[in-house]
Amino acid sequence: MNHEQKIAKEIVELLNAGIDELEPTVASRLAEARHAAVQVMLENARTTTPDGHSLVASLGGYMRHHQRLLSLAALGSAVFFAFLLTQQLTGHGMAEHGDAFLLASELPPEAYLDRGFYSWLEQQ
Amino acid sequence: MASIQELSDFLKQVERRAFKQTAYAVRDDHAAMDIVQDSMLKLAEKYSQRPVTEYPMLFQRILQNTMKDYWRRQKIRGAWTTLLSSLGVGNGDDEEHDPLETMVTDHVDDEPEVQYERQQTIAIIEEAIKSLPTRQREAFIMRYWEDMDVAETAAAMGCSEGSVKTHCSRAVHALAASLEKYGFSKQMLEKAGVER
Repeated sequence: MNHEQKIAKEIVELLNAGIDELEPTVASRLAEARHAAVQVMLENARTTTPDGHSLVASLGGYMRHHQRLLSLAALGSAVFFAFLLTQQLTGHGMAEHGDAFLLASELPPEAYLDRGFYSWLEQQ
Repeated sequence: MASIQELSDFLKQVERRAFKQTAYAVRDDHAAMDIVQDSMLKLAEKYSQRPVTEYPMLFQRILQNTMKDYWRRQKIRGAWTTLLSSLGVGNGDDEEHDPLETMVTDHVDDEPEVQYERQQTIAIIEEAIKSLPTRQREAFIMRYWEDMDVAETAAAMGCSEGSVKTHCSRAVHALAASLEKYGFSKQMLEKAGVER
């Protein structure tokens, strides 16, 4: 042990003497905090290993531990669904707009058909 | 995975040192108690699956982070207080700055002379530790008081092993120097240690 470590050891011994003289109120509050932490661990143990390994209980535990991730996934799904719905409605509207344009036109619908195709087909 | 008994034993073993260590850093016993309590809960909540051998390092890391959170909150609070006082809001009734809460008191008990001297020595050492730079204090406490090895201390502090050695060495020299200012020699330190 070198000189530096010897000094450190002496200081640490005095610090240890200091913690033996902690006020009783502080010591009891620390004990309460310890019991609370142990209680939390007990509760965690109950939720992660509920009697047996039932699927529902495991799923419940997983959801509790990954609440934030699941919330994000739900939000993402909602946005994606809204996007799909919007696309669907917009496409439908455009198709309706196309039919309306054809019916309202001054030319008859036949004018839009390619009659040359049939004559070409007959020639083949 | 640590058992409930192992967690309880570990916390019982470190709680007083953790409280003192935090009190040296934040200089407020109430805040120190809250920080230690939060750290214990975080350890139990998030690391109950880890082996008990990892607990000293994990607990120190949690403790350091919780202290940093406390300082961050204090800084924000301080900024708001400064802003509000510059606007002339809340002058004169700020309970948070009651000097009686931070005033150093002398606990002069009716105890034998030796006991009193030892208490004085401990108080001087505690003051010297409080006055160390944060990183040096953390390194000294983890390395020597918590008896963690250099690698564990480095992992808990998030720095290299070389830095830990440097911080520890500087801390010991600074402590020795400040104790010498109070007239403590190594022999006196040893005497104080033996008399306990």
